[in-house]
Amino acid sequence: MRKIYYGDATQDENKYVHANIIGLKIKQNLKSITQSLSHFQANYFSLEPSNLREKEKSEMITLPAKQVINLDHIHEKDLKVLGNNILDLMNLSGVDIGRATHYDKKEDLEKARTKIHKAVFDIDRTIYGCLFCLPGINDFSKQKAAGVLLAQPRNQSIQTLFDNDMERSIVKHIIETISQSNRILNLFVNFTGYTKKNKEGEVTTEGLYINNARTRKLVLKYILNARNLELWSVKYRSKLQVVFRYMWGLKTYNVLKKILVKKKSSELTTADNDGLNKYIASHVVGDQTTKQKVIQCVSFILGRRTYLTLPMLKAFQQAKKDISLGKMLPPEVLEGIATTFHPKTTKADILNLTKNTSMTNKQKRLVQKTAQKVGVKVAFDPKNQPMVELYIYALEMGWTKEIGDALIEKAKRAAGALPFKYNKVGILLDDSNSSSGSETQKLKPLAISLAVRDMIRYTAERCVICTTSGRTAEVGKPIKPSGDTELASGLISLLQDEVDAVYVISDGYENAPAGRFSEALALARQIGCPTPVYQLSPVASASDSGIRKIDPSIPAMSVSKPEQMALSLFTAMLQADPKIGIVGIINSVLPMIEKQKLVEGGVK
Amino acid sequence: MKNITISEVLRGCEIGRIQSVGYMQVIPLLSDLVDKNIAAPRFNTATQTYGSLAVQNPNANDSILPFAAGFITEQKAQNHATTKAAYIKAHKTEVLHTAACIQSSQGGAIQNGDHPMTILPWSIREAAMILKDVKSFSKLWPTIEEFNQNLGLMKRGHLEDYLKSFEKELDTFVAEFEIVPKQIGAIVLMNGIVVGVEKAPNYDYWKTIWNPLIRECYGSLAIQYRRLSGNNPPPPKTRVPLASVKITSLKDIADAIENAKKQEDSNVKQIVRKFVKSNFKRTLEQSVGKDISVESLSHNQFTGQIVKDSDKIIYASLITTGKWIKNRDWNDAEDFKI
Repeated sequence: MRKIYYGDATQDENKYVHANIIGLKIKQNLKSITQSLSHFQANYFSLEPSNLREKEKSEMITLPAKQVINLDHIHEKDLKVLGNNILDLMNLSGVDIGRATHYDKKEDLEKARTKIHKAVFDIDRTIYGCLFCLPGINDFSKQKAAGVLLAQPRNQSIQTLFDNDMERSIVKHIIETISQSNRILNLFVNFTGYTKKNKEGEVTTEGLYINNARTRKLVLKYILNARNLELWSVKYRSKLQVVFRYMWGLKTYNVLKKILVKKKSSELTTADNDGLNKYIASHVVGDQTTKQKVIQCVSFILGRRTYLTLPMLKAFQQAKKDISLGKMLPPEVLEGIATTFHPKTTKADILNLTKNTSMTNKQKRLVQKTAQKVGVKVAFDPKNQPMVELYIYALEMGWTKEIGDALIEKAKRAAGALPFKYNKVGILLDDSNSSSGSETQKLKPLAISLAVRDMIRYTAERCVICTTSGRTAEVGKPIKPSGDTELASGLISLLQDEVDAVYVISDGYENAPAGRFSEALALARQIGCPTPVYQLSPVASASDSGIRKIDPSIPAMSVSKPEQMALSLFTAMLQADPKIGIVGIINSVLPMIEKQKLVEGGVK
Repeated sequence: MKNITISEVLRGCEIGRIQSVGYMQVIPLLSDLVDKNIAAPRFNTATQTYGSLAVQNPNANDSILPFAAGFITEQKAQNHATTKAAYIKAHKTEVLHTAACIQSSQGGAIQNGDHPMTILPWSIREAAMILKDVKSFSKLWPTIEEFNQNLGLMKRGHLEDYLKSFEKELDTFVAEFEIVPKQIGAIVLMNGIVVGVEKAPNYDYWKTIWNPLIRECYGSLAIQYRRLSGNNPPPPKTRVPLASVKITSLKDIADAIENAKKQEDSNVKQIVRKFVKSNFKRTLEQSVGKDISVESLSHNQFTGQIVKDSDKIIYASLITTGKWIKNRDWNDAEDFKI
């Protein structure tokens, strides 16, 4: 068994785990993460400054005090059910991105997803909403939850933990914490009803058809106060048209279009101005200048192409005559203009025009393959990329020292945010062929595993790493998927190194042979080896059957990015005690919602 | 024609570590000796009339249509399968007039296109082999009906019923097994009994047929076994439990794992040794140029087809006969010795 050792191997062996829980150092004899977590919860989320270091104090000082959470409206029996349902939902919501996996089809996942969401929603919709405010919940799950909450009106006869106002804040928080603008707009488009043609030409009806006052108000307020509305106007104008048409209603939409597109500002009547004020300006937080800018953006979205003064809107028009004048536009918008008005413009021209002006760092990473093909050098800074994406990039395009350094830096930072620290940790990395992922998620499971490996390494002073393929897997470096899955040898080999805990990063599909890991672990327990063993299951997308456990006796947690590990720890807490777990989750979420409420405007 | 043995069919291969999950075991066949000039089996197919399937090779290299391949289309047309392997030159089309319909009550001809390829379920492949020369588009319907009925489905000649009804189980099943480096084939066992031997010309070809072969062909047999014997299969004959006596340290466990591996490896070799010297009768099916030939092989344990390039066997697909499996205890018994 080839292994890599990190840290000083000659140090005196210490069989104790040194758990550093946000300033509170405890020395415990091989206690489980679950126990560590209750300290983490109790101290970090109680928001009592005495337990916090200066940094944490300054970050949290503006937050209100912990509330007393009363779950009396839920029957004791239902509470257990709720705990289990929440567990399923959290395991799903960190990793569910609505795509097929190596093991599950998209349609099966949709059925499973709906069932899991409904199981929590039906018991208490406000607790359901709180879960999606937790850090580590991904955008797809937030989109789903916002849709579920807005689509179904509150039934006043059913008691919930929070009232209507609080639920509105929860929904707002869920939407505002979706990380990408296009995903928020996709969510809004999904609120509307629209038709779609499939491959066979059959027209299907999609969307949620949510049409109630609180949704209309929330959506319009969000869009019209968006800091990037000018950029959105050129980039997402079709989506925004769909959303406006639905939220205002077709009749109002057409009236506003007539006013904004066909009339000059000097031709506007009092009735026109009243209309603009009622349907647009009244939603905008800001002075008259801000409101005028917003009205100009809306007029552009609705089709106005003259008398534009905002720089990006002007550039959109000017680029039709001279492509170089559109360099401040997003590359995909400029490419669209080029296709229609400058057909001789090449991909290389667009890359050259936008690489230093409008291209985001993520776009720079994603265009590397194309840029290489067309011979344009587009520099991007790996330090700004998430670990998992950086690993996918390194696996596809090649590894550099700069990428390695960025990965290690990020791993250290991610590990620092975790509520535990080991002296010596063992990592068994499943780098078998199945980690190559599905067609739509190529290499993602492996990239997640590598990122998680790096982070776990930095939770300890010393670390030993081995792989199922028997190859060495150096921290900060990728390794390609290969071979079958034999986990038992690696496990025993790590236990022989007297580590404080073993983390098995594996999808749980053991085949050489199936069940050998359990046999070996049972023998190790039989001879009195108490070392905790955990399974971290890299999930590129959700599985409708949950995590595949290698062994029923070890805690298994799904993880889709290292930053999400804290979420996995919450699930461990729920497993230990559903009631404490639920209260802990709500207590940790409430300050974030309250804080968000305090932020003026609160929009991106 | 001179008889041939499996030993010759698998020349240049060595066996890898056995993968074992549930009722099925897969012994990878590894080799450095590959034919890179054979393209992976990606074809365009169309039916000319019921029972005549035109298979076009759009690749820049020659390719081999696997033995008992089926084509499932979303079009309102009758799904078809072939009952023979075929060697198809680059950019050429072969029309196979002994093809069979695998969707009895559906009419319509398949329009030319890249339709998903499947490999017929294990128990239908033997029937396909027996009826390989019969020109009747309905020749596989009774076998498919029986197959569906055995799986608890409606008794009708629709293979897609099986593929749709067990889609989820088959997906999980294929995910249990993994391709290993240098793999170009496999010996497949069900509950410790060899049920098939598969060999591809190269890694890319193997990767392409892996899913239809393991998922749809052998997966069907695993489902049948589970229906008959329940969800808790006994450990296969090749599997060795870790010795739990005299274990006092982690080193003892590590040693027990190594010993079990060695013992399992030896069990696998013993199983393989039993049939590698068996003699097969050969029948020529297709000749392409001077060197290429497609042949059918028969023997009391196996039946199937191979493709040869001169003396080199570049493709093989052999399945164990139902009759042999029925008498396996007798067949497995040692010859009388004193």
